[in-house]
Amino acid sequence: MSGPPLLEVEKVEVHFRLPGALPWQSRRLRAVDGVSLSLAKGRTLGIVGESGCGKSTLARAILGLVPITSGKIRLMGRRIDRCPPNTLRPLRRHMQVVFQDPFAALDPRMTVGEIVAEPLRVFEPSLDRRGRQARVRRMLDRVGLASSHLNRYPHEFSGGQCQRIGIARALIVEPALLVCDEPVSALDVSVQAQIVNLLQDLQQEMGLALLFIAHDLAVVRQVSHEIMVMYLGRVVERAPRAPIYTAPRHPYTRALLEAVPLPDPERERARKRTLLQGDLPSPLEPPTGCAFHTRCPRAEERCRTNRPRLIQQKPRHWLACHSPLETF
Amino acid sequence: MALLEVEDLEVRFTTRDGVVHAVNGLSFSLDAGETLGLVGESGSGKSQTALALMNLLADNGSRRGRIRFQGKDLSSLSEREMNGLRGNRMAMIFQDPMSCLNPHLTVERQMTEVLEHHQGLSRRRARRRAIEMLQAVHIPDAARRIHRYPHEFSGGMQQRVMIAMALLCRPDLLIADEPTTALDVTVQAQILALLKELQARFQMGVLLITHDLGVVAALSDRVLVLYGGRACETAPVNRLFRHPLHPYTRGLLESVPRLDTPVDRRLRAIPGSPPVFLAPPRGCPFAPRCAQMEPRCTQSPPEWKNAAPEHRVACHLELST
Repeated sequence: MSGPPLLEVEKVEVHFRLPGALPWQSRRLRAVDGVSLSLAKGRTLGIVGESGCGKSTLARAILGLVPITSGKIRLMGRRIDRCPPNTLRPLRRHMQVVFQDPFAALDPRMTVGEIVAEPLRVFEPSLDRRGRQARVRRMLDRVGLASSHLNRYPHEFSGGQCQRIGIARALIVEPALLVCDEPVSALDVSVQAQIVNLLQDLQQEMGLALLFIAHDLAVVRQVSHEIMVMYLGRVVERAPRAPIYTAPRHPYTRALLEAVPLPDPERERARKRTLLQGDLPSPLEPPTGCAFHTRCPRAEERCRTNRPRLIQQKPRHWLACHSPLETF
Repeated sequence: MALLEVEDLEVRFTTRDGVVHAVNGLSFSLDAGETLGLVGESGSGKSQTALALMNLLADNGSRRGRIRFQGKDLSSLSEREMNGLRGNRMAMIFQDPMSCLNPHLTVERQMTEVLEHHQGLSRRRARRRAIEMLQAVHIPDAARRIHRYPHEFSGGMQQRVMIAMALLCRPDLLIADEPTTALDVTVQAQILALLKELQARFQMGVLLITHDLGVVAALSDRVLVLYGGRACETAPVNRLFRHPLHPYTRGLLESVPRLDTPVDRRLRAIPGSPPVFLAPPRGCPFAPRCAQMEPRCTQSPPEWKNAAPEHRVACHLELST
């Protein structure tokens, strides 16, 4: 591949200061703690992890919705973190977002037509009303909605249809990057599949890059070329789809995969799995050393004291673990 | 004798938009010690069925039909008699533990209260039983932690506390409504293992309500698939996953992305979305989304047909595996 990647995230940290009862009791929450990634045009990077792992905060940081504490974010080779609004604005059209809650993401007082046209008003102000209307109709048709829906309001639609409206709004300005933050987790199973298929079709047609954040490992496997596994603000493993799902090296990656119950009663009951002990630690008081050591079946002494660095094992396989699983 | 027999259950809600028909003539039974998975998507009526069984429907809801629990017709019971059963012989756990734990009371107080009320135990004996139950759900250091308030427990531990509370009186029936849906996947695996263990230990009948086919596969003996407030298929769990017959069951199983099969380019989605009925559907509730729909499907509701021993399906079509 030539040229710089579409999106580059370099050692990004997002820390929040949580006020305490008294000023000196305020605490620092390291939601994202030194994460790097890169994403090329037309590719999908899946980000998985449990609550508090920082996956959504990372997405919000990339979108510029929360300020980063340190690090660099580049889109199409240009810095987008801490850059003045008027330089950022033209770049913003190249990255759009689809959120988890399809109802909360749409203004209930606007019609579907107005919602989908809004980004065009912002980014292509010279377009006249008719031009805009034509684009909106084309986009609605593309996401599987009819022109007759134009003058209706969000509450008249089901969750799946609202998610289609959200996707239409995101893609009408033809972005290069679509950030999907749990885009199907609020939807019914039978509808989830429709939206996953739609996103994959649109990706192929438009050459979109997807940053796909989800807690559902099977959905992420379906859409991603590469997967990044996060735990308490840090990346523990990153690799292409096949090695992550068939030969994970990090004990946490394996534990996640083993924890998912299979929709096959015979296989599910015959399965031998090592259950992780305990709950996720609070991100406010992450364990020392490797944050996973409190639950890790392979933890050794050094895991408690030394934080493992993310090291490249193979050309595209990165791992942060002192005691990784063997590959066969 | 079956532990629970439900016959022709109907649940309706009066709303501003009209009367919502949430459950439309649902019949099933559950044996003692058996786990029945009630599977469906939003609007299938699975949660309202559970609430109707416990007589806990919202104020605008009403139920009709017969519910027999240990041979007793629940609709003939007074509120007082129902209170004597609920939390005692039949108990329920929910998706969100904080919705049923009282944030103002210590875990000890809310647990002992149940035992004092239902079983007339003294405070001291009640405390001992409560601690035993917290140990049964593997809460470490239970004797000390029982004095804490619910918010002092993590999410997974709150779920355990709620389960311990539900099991205090050793109920004969446990209704579990999406018991692991709000949990992270590694914690879900722990709670599923715990439910399996407790079910074997206390031999209760479990009505497991979930949308997650993996959870159903892990815990159920038998499955009942619901759609639009009606049952469409029931079978022993292995049979249902190996030989699903109803077009909806098949569609549902095919639409889930899964970790144990190769990645197909496309998922097989079911077009459309789950319905809400302001009038009971005349025909099969799934007909509008069914690829094999025929004219008769919209005219009359399909009757139960026996496909195999213990495998029944409600569909007009000639189905084969």
